[in-house]
Amino acid sequence: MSDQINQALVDLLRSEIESAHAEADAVRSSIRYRLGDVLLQALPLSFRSLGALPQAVLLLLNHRRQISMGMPVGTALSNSNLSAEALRCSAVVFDPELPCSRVFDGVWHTNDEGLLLLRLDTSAVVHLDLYRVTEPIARRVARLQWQGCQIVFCVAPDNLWGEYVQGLLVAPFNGVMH
Amino acid sequence: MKILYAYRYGIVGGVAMQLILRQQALHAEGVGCDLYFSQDNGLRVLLDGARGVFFGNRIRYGTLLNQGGYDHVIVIDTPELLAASYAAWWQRPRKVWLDVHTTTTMGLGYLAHIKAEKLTGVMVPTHYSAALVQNFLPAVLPAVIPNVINDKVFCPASASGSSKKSENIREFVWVGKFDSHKNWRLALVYARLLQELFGNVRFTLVGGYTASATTGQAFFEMADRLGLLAVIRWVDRIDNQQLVNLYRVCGCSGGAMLVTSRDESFGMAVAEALMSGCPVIANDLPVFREVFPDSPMIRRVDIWQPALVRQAAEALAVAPAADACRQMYEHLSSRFGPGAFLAALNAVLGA
Repeated sequence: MSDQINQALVDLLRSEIESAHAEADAVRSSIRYRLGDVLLQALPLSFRSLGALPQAVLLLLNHRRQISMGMPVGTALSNSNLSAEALRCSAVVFDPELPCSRVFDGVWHTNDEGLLLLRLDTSAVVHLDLYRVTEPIARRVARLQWQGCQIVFCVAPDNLWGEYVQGLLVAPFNGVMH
Repeated sequence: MKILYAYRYGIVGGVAMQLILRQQALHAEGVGCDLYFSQDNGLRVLLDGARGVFFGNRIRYGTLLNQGGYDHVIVIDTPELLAASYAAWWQRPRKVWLDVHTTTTMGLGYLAHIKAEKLTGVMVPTHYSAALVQNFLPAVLPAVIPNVINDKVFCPASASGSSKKSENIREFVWVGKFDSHKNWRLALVYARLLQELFGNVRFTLVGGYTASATTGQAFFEMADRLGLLAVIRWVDRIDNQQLVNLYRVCGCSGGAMLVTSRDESFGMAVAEALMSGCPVIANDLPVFREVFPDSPMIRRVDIWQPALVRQAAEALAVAPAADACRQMYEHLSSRFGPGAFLAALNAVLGA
């Protein structure tokens, strides 16, 4: 067994230990743990216990305030962001350098990765030209190939996702058995 | 009789898929069965308006119960739905069951806080789960209702059919969510081991549709570090027919499914692979000893021992024997086909 596999296993076990520590930290800083800690300090019941309730209320109020401040206000993409024309086109071109998204000659050209991902996940695409590959696109390419999509990578790969996609295109597999 | 299954997560995963199979089996028998998911985590779009499936963002649980006329409500691992499930004194009576599918200590923790005496009964998919539940509820005798496997789709290739596969490439497959529970990182390490062992291999990882961008990034970076970018294929979601095709190709090529999970509640993906003629190299989990028979089709190993994984891989035949495939299919189909599920459920609900 190669040194690389041994090293990979050691690295994996190290990351497992780090994850376990991080999980323990997350539990200790969770509202449940901290609230429980405050309430336990009220036992055994005494005059000192009276102080626990306002502490607990303060903890809860701070927690809710932190949540409301930290909560990202985002716009979730929905199918309504995709034009009906884009949905009808079975051929798609993704090029971030394009000035805008438009349909031309029955082909939907887009520079918007979010809309591209939405389109790829919504209905079948028969042909896809890619001028850039990112992780969310890379993870979908094998699925698209299996759905019968012809994919063309229009530039030389300049990142590991591009290298991965290039590999899929060189040795396509449609998983067909009779 | 009309049944409602209720579960928190409307996610493309084991429990939700199992509920859909159960619903199909019951509908085929003419039994009314609806499904309720408190959350829609991506399942609704895949079901494309299927009949009898409801989501919490479209209809309140209480409203569905009032309108549904259910005789039995079966709640899966969602304690917050239990209180609302019981009929008020002025309402049509219904029986409320708890179906426990989780097997992790953290997941089972809610059992310590429920009022089990109000339940008509507790169901579990395996005797392994039953023992875990009794650790929390010693006075309860759970009823084992086996999971349903789609034995019409997941079956070996027909003897008369030809296989179309890549020449001289051993195909391996791993199926699961990209989380630490399923242990995808260890799967990549073993993809590298299999490449060193056999040379020409392809390793397909199926799942991870909802994996975060961080996880996706970590996946590709680890694959790159291990020199696997040309060997791996990530299929983030797949339909059943493509999946069974993949299993058949893996089997015919001398490959296998690799199971690196730390724990499983049943092993649906393993069952489906075995029934499709794909051998399995799996972590030696207690539930697998209950669900799967001893067979050359399945090799159980301590998944943290690479030497044992290597031995199991070396023992893979060029293609599994047809007899072994057929025996495995017949065994699992008889134990976990729709008929077995219906018989077990009827015995419990009718009792």
